[in-house]
Amino acid sequence: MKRFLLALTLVFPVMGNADDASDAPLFYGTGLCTNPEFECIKVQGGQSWEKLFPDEQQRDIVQRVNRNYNYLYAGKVLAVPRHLKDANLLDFSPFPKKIKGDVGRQIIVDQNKLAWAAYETDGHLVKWGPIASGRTKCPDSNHVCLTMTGVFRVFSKEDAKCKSDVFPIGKGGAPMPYCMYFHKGFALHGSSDMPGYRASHGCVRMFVQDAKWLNQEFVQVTNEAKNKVGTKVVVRPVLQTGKPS
Amino acid sequence: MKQLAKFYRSKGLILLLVLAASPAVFSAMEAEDKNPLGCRDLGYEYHLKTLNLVPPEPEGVPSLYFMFNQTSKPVLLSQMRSKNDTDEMSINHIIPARQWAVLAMDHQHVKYVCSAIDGKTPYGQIVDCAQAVKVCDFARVKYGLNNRGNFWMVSGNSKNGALREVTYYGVIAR
Repeated sequence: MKRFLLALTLVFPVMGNADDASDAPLFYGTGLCTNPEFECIKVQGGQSWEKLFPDEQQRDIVQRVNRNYNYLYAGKVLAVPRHLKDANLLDFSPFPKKIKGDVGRQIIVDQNKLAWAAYETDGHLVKWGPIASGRTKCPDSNHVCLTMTGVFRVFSKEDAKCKSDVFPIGKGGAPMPYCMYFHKGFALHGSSDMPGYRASHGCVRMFVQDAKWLNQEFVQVTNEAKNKVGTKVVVRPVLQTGKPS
Repeated sequence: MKQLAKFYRSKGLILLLVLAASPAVFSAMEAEDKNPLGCRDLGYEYHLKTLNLVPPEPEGVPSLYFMFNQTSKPVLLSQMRSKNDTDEMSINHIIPARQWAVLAMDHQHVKYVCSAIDGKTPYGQIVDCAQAVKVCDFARVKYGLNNRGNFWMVSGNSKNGALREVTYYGVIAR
C-alpha cells in the first residue's frame, strides 16, 4: 500500500499544485520535501555522494530522485527516501509502470518531470532516469534552446566518443557520449553535468550509464535498406517554467 | 471656404487612394488564403465541428499539412484522444490569427477540436474547425531520415514565410 501511494504521488504530483507549480516541482529534488515519504537533508562541508551514501544502489536512487549527480556543495538540499534500504528504483518512477502496448519500444522524455522512461513493446516500463533538456534561452547565443517536441525515431547513434559538431560555438567538440539522434541535431546523450534543471542547448542529457544502456541495449536505428524503423522517442513539451532556464 | 475645399479635396484623394488600393489589398488577402502551389485539398475532413486528418499517403509515408487560421483570434488545435491511441502525447498547437502553421505527420489518423483563444479561459471558446482553419496536404514531399516524425514544423508565419521555413528545414516539396 505504501508503495502504491508513493508511486501515485510520483506519477500525479502536479495535480494538487496547479497554481503554484511554477517554482516548486513536486516530482523531484526539493519539491519532494513536503512529501512524508521523503526527508530532506542539507549537505555539510566535505560531504560527497560517496560519503553520504556508501551503498552504490542507494546512492543511485537518491541521485535519480534528485535528478542530479553533480559534485555536492555545502548547503545543497537533497531529498532522501525514508525507506531507502528497502527501496527499488521502479518504486520512484515518475512514469506509470504499464502503458498501452503493441506499439514497439519507445522512450518517453518528460521535460516537466525531468525524466526519461523506456517502455518495452508490451507496454512495460523497463528503466527510467533523469534528464536535463534544452534551456528556454541559451546564454551563449541568446537563441531559444528548447528541445524539439513531438514523436520521432532514432536515426543515428554513436559510441562513447560521440562529440558535438557545434558546441562550444565556433569550435565543437563537446562530449556527447553514447549519442542517439532522433531529430536533426537533437540527440539523447550522456553527460557528466546533470544539474537538476533544464540546462542544455537542446539535446537531452542523461546519466552516462543510462545513455550507455539505452544505446547498447535498447535503441534500434532506422535503416531503410533493411526495412527497420528506429526506436520511437516521444518528447513532451515544457508545460511549466520549472527551475532556472 | 478655401480651407474647406482643400479639406474635401484631400479627403477625396484619400478615398480615391483607398479605392485604388483596395483590389490590391483584397487580392493580397485572397492570395494569403489560397493554398500554396502543390498543396492539395485532400487528406482531411471536417466532421461536426472537428477536423480529422486522414493522410492519403500509405502508412509509413510522412505527410505535410499546411493549416491557415482564417479568424482574427489565435486558434488552439487540441488533439482528441481515443481509447486506441497508443502515443503518450498529444500534438496540440496554437495557430496565430491569419497565419499558416505546418504539421509534419506520419500518423494515420489525428482528430482535432478547434477553439478560439479569447484570453478569458485557458482553452478558449470551441469553434467550428471548418470555419476557423483551412487545411491542405502537400503530398509530394521528400523527408530526410533526420527530419521525420510528428511535430509542428512551422508555428505560425505568412504563406511565403511558412514555405521558406519548410524549405530551410530540409523538407523538399516536389
